[in-house]
Amino acid sequence: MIKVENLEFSYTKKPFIKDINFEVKKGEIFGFLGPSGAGKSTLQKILTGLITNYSGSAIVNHTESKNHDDRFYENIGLDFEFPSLYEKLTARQNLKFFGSLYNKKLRDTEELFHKVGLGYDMDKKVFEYSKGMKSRLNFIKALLHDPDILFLDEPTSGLDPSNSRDMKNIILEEKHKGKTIILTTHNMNDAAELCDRVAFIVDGRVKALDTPHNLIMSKGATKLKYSYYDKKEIIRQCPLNKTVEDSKLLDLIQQNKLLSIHSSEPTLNDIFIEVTGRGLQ
Amino acid sequence: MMVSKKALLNSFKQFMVQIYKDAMLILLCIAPLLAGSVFKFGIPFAQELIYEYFGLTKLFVPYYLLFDLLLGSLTPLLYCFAAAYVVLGEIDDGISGYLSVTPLGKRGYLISRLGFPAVISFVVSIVLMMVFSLSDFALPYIVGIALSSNLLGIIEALLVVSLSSNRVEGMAVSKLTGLFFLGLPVPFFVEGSIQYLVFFLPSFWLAKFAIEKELLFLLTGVLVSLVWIFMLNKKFNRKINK
Ligand SMILES: Nc1ncnc2c1ncn2[C@@H]1O[C@H](COP(=O)(O)OP(=O)(O)OP(=O)(O)O)[C@@H](O)[C@H]1O
Ligand SMILES: [Mg+2]
Repeated sequence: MIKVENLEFSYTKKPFIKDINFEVKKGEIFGFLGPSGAGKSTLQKILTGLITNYSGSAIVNHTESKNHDDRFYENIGLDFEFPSLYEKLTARQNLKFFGSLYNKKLRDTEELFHKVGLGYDMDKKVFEYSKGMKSRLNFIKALLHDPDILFLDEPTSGLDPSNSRDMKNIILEEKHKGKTIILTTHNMNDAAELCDRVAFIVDGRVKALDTPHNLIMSKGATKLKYSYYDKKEIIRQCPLNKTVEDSKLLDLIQQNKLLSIHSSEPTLNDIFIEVTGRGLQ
Repeated sequence: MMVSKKALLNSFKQFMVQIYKDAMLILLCIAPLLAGSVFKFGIPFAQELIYEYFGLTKLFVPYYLLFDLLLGSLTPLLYCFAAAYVVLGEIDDGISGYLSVTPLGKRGYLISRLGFPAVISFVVSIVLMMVFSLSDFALPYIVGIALSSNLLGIIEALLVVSLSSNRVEGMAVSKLTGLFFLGLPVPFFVEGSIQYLVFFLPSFWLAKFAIEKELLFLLTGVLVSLVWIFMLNKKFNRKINK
């Protein structure tokens, strides 16, 4: 569905987006992860045809994105970082207008409203909506024309856990229908849960690209954490595959003195810090 | 490349709804009609009064043409401001950028927000000049005047959108863009070649064309307008894609 080769772009004379190569298959959820200012939104703008003066190639749905015509958008759904809605219109009027721009058959609007918990607020004006409500409305706006490719930029930011759960379920539902989804996020847990593969993006480059599982397994070792009492509680850890070499641990086991013991797998966040040398926020 | 007809029409419909829902914008749209009536009946009447009391004959007569030009360019001035005002609201709401990633596209957006209004204002200004003008114009001149005053209107809309970051600023900037129409009286009041100092104002060429009925002036005005439009277009584009 998406194929990017040797992509380069910069807003200024200084190189920014550089050497980007990846492919996303139909039905895949692909994550862009990276700190603020890394170039995630910029990359999305290139893929969605908003930035056209890039070099290299970015093929989306069989079209080189800089050469797209307006029909290109019949099959692309976008949930931007910031909501784009007529504040003075009701939610329903908003969707009616945006839907009227497509030649395709639209999805059932009321059903979409109910799915994201806005069933009782369809006829409220958007300026009466809270931030999270606007995010949800903006999200279903992207689904309205049942596009084959979805670009979601921080869809769950600012949502409470229950709404965030609903939204993630809808994203997974879309994936199972065969939609291709590009998900940009700072949220490692969301990424690990939803994405089939993720790309770590830092300073305009891809620093790592794999399934969340492989990234975690290949880079970080699982650790064993244990604690015992020696005047006060002491916590120690050792790599799981080196327990034999930890004589303190063996002693404690012998003497039956362990207070607690558990293994802890690294999170995607740990891996991210290890690979890129910095945190996500 | 074709713009989706459905998207274009619905986008324009949405534009009209926004005008319709805003009392100020409706007022702007009927104002040229009011101004036309005032010019047509008020000015000759005032002329009479002045003649009676001061004995001055035909004080206004040499300027009838100027009044006609003001009337002709008032329509695009107000209509294009209304369009710019709607666009500024849409930029505020993040809509303008979003519409370029729908089948409407950036071009469709521009056509529905500047193109269609300009065509309507072109037609309205022709009709108003035919009905209300004080001097006798042949239709081709009216069309020429309407054409160049509408280019002026588009320049105004581009300026208002490019220079202001919200609707309140837009109001202020639109007053400034009124300066663009200052070229109109120049050929009436400034004699000799010094008048050409304002060559960069398309309105100056518009007035020259109306006075001298010389096609060359019309073309020069169109050219100067296109240069302005070309220069402002980039800034405008950057604004709507913010
Ligand atoms: N229109 C623009 N003109 C110039 N520079 C820009 C523009 N948009 C973004 N940038 C710059 O490009 C860099 C990357 O921005 P981008 O929005 O792609 O980051 P991001 O990874 O999406 O960050 P965030 O997580 O905060 O959304 C930033 O340094 C930003 O200042
Ligand atoms: Mg971003």
